[in-house]
Amino acid sequence: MSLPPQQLEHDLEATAEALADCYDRSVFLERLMVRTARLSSVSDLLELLGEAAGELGCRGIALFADGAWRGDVPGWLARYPAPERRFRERGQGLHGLPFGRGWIALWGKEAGLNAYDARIADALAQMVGAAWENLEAQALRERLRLQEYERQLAGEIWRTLVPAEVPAPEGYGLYSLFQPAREVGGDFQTAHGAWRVLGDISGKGLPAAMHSGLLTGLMPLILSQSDPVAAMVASATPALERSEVFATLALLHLHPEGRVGWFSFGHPPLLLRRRDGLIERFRASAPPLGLFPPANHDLNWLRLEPGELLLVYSDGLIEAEGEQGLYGLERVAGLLAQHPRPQEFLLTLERDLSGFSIVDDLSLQLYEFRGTA
Amino acid sequence: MQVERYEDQGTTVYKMQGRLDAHQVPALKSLIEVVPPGIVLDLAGVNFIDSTGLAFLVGVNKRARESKIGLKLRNLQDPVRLILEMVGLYDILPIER
Repeated sequence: MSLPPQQLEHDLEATAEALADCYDRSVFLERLMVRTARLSSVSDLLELLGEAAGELGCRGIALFADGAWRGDVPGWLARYPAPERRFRERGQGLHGLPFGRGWIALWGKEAGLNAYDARIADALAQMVGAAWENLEAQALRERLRLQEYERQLAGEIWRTLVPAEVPAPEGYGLYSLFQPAREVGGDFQTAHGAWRVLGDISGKGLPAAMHSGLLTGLMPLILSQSDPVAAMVASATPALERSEVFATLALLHLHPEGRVGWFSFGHPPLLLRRRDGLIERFRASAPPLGLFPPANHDLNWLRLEPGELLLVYSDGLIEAEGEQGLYGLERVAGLLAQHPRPQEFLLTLERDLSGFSIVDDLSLQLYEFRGTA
Repeated sequence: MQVERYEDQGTTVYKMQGRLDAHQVPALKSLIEVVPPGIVLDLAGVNFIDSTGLAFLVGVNKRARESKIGLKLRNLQDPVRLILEMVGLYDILPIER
């Protein structure tokens, strides 16, 4: 039995419309996939969702992700708890489509979503879920890139503030190591006239480096005062106390004829190598800077003869870690006793340290008194 | 760093085991509460301290002093005692002898 021509024509038109509609949806889905893969911001994602709502014939669409609505939502929707499953609420014609980190709310289609729309909406929710995770990974990469840039910049600024080398004072040879544990460090050194300073801020990394930069910057002013110890306590203590850090610091005033005035705020012992190889140790004369004011501000004095060596170093040297324990003060003193020539001492020390792990900033200044001509 | 907390005759004792260094101090800051009438840091299990660890001990001492709460450092091992002596803190911190 054949259909009347009019009926046949009607059926053919209906089939053609359905095919065209199907094609349009396929094109829409294809565009959705491509654009989802290229999203670079949350506003891109919201724009895409707006287009999807139009395609599905809905009045509104909203995105809830990671505990918050993204963009403006109507008051009645804001109160909805995040659903665990897909749901439909007839009052507002609301469809809730959950994905891993949130859900999509679609509303305002009077006839509701048909089965075909519902499949597209499900696909949309899955793609939004993937896009959201991509955006988050992208934001994390950008944050890390920015942090790395800032870290490098901080390193450059710190290296400008804290010199890696200081000049030898008149009458002395100066041999040094200056090796921060990271890009920046808490050790610092500076020179001002006959004054030399080697210091170490407690802690590591950027916070310690900010203080080491601050103290280095203050030093020329401090060392120009008639009582540099008092000036140091007065100017450095407030900032150090606020941050609950302290500084150990050795302050030297090296006269060209071999007299050396020194003050040590909790710094590891200064080691003096006499010409006969005897090692003298000069222990801290006050607690670390930033803790308690010293009982007196007077410099201590020692005298060097030509060829004698004075070693100042930070705790990173004696706290280098080996399999048998820390490198230690005795080992440093022993090496210094065996080596009257500064270059040989440094070469041997570096070789000896190669079996140790240096976990802290390491700095060292070795002064050789050469005598007046 | 492992920390065991117990009461001993009304005093809170923190028995510490491990390294007192820059890696451990951030977690310790929230673990060690300075509570009345007094606390004891038992350092029998601590064989390494760095400058961050020293700053931590100084900070606890400061908080205890400001709150008028007793503090004792107990069972110092030689490596820790040597460092405290070196930086001039041995006679300043309240060490049980």
